[in-house]
Formats: sequence, structure tokens, C-alpha cells
Amino acid sequence: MQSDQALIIEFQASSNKEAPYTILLKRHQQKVYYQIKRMVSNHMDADDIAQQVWIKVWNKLDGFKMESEFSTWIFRIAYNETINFLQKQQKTSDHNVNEELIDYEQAAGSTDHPKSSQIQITLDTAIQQLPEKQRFVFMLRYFEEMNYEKIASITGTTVGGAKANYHQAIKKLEEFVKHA
Amino acid sequence: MEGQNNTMQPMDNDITLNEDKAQVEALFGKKALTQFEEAQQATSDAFFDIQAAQILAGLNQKKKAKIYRISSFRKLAIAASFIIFIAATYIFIESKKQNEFAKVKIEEIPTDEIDNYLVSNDWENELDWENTTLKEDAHIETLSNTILKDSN
Repeated sequence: MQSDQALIIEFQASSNKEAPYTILLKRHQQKVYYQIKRMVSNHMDADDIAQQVWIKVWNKLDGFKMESEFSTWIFRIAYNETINFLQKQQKTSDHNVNEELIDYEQAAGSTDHPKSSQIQITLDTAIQQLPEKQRFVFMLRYFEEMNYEKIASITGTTVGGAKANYHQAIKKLEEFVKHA
Repeated sequence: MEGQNNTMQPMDNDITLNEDKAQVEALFGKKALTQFEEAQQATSDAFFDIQAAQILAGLNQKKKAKIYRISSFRKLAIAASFIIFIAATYIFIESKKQNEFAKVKIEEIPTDEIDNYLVSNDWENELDWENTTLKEDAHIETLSNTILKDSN
């Protein structure tokens, strides 16, 4: 199996860019989509953002200098795209957590999703009320099990900053559970 | 030592990672967190194949659109610059002609050239008529002077 680095070199050197790009896409596609989906909750929005991310990867891969891992780089693009989307969404409409909660309950009540429970609803609402950056850091740390060095590179902060973001997120979740 | 540090790093990370995860699990329980993640990952089997196909199709469309836009833009740019060049040349030549014409003084033009010009433009008769008028004017003036002298 070719490494990411070898595929990037192939992409940058050859005129037939589609073959190495497709392998990279299929290799990292799921993780990128899941991280975006955790942030925006809505499947259609997550799909749109993920597609935007991959188009940016195509456009910028020629200039990628391999100073970081490809997965770090692509998560950084995903981070920027997701934050931009959420900020635009906040500007255009008042983000109503309660509406999302109802959607979540309905989705959870359907046969395709796990059974709804009070603790799940609390968890979902608690996560949604976290500031975007803290939420992103929390998701990367807990679900992707990334180290703080990588999280720091993705979110454009220091290792200390990434740790602080995670622990602030935990504090806010604790407070939310206390008052729930 | 460096190698040891590298092997130590993931272990340290594992310890802190487990601690970090345990804090969240203490709040919500592992089951709720697992269910949350399952809800995020609930997609159809074909979803990622369809998404990949859509991305690649989108890129191909973009490439085609980009090539078309560049070529049509170039065509327009070439046509526009050609028109501008022709117009600028015409304006330049015309203004130069006018300037040259304005600069020539009547004294600098040879008499033959003026004569030829007048002949070719049938202006000679007009000139004769003007001379005759001038002569008649002069004759009237001398006559009036003589009358004045006689009366005195």
C-alpha cells in the first residue's frame, strides 16, 4: 500500500492526478465526514462541507509541502470549512438548540438510530452548547483519539492552548450536567 | 535517548488520553457516548462511494469549465487588444496629420505650390475677382481724393 506521502509526490509530479487523489480521498474520506458531522449534526450540511474540503484539497495539493502529515493538513482544512459554515449559519439564522434537540429526538426514535434516552439528549445538548473551537477539540480528542500536538496543528493553536480548550470543554459539560 | 523519548511519547499520550476520556465517560457514561458516535456514523453503505463519485465529477466539471472560461477570455482579450491597437493607431495618425497641417506657415509654402493648389481648386477666378474689387476700391479712393482737392 502506497503511503500518503508517496501518493502526494505522485499527484504533484504527474499529469494524471486523479489516480493518487482518488486513493487519498477514499482513505481519509470517512474520518473527515464523521468529524464534520459531529460538528454540524446535519447529514446534508456535513456532506456539502466534506465535498468542499475535498475540492480544496485538489486545488491546494500541488502546493502542499509535507511539513505536516496529510491527515493533519486535511483536518485543518475541514476545521476551517466547518467553522466558516457554522459562523455563516449563525449570522443567517438564530441557531436554536431546542429545535435541534427535537430533530435529534425524532431521529433517535426512528428504527435506523439508537434508542433515545435522557442522558443521550443531555449529551447532545451539552455538546451543542460548547463554543465551536472547544467542540472541535473535544471531538478530535475523545472520538478521534488524537494527541494534543496534532490537535494544536489542526486548530492553529499551541499544545497548551489545545489542552486548555479540551479541559474548558469538560468543565462546561460538567456544569451543564449539574444544572440539567 | 531520542529513540526512547519517541517510544515514551505515545505511552504518555495513551495515559493522558485515557484520563481525558474517563472524565467525559464519568459524566455521560460510555454507552451514551458510543451511541452518540453511532448516530454520527449512521450512513448508508453506498454513501461514501456516491460522495467520492460526486467529488470527482464536480472536479471534472470544474476543470472543463475552467478551460472554457480561460480560452474564451483569451479570445476576448486578444480581440479587444487588437481593436484598441487599430483605434489607437488611427487616432495617432490623424492627430499627427492635423498637427503637421497646423504647424506649416503660409510663408513656408512655395508660391508654385499655392498656385497649383488654387488652380486645381478653381480658386483663381475668385482671386482675380478679389483683385479687381481691390483695384476698383483704390480707383474710387483716388477719384474721391481728386474731388476733395478740387473743391478745396
